[in-house]
Amino acid sequence: MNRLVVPGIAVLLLALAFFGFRGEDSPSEGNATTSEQPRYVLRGAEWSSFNENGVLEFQGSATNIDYFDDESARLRTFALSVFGAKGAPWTATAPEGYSPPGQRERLQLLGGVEGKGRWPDGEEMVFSTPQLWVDTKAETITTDEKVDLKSKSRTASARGLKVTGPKQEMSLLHEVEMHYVPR
Amino acid sequence: AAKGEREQLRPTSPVKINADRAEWQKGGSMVYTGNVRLESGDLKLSGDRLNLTQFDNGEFEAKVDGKPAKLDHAGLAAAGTRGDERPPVTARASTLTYDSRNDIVEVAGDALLTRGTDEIRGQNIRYDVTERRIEAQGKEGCEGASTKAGCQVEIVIQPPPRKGKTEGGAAAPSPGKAASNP
Repeated sequence: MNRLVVPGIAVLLLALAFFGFRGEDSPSEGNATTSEQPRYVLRGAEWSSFNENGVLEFQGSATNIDYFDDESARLRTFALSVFGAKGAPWTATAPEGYSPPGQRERLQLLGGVEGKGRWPDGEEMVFSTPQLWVDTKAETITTDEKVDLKSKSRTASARGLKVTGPKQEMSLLHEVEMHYVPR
Repeated sequence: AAKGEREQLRPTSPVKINADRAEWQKGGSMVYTGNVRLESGDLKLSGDRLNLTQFDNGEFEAKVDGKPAKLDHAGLAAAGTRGDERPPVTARASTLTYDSRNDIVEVAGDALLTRGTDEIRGQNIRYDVTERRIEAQGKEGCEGASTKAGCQVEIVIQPPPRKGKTEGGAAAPSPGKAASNP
């Protein structure tokens, strides 16, 4: 398993036993917004990101990471765990992931996201949405698309979701429908 | 109804809430805003804002504010639980507070409740959803006030249509008006 450890401070530390070079069949080839080749192509990778104080911001794993010179990244079969430090972690998986250039703290999960989290009262729930943004610095999870949330005592659907980790604050942004199942 | 029977009568259907937006903070209630509608069995509440506090056993209190907030409780046909017909009930007020633990709606602030064709006005009206029973109270602190307007409960009871009354028959006797001190 290759480990990509990314401290908040500039230097990218790679702890890899093996990584693929250019020319490998990487997911970015056909639809990459950046025509250039990835600096690194990693197989079976783990991605851990720490903030300036060395606190773990998020952990992710992917079958494939293409890491580009502009510090953007494209990931395939991406699994992610956030808010581990303060609240109980939220986890999400998606066929694809993307981190914009120079914004290592922001990650987009694409292609149909399935995840686990908690309602503000602590009840565990599962959610699904076509795409999801995770901002590990602002500690927010957001989507502006349809989202379905389900737990033992409630199910909800809405268009747009925002979760703020530390305060465990949740907003369902539009077209909210909530069903409470009597216990 | 005896407690056991009341428990049986109490609705346990799922509750559905629709709204434009919902916000929830840890340790706080869930706040729904914009075109809010709550449906639980045949009871419907609607308004601009709904604060929902859920209790551990899954029961809840829903406080609905609106201009006005509205309640609609469908009537029961003649084959109702008591065998007699139960007319639909509606209510309009600044605030409706529904507590699922006792199945009571507190109708407060310029409250108007109708039961079939009867009308009840007052500052605070309490509607027992399970029993379909109404208690109304005038404004407090009105004792000795020069005018009773707005202080008292006002009930307008429409007499049932006379049996065998043909279309366009003599006008029904004028509705009885009752007022009671708070």
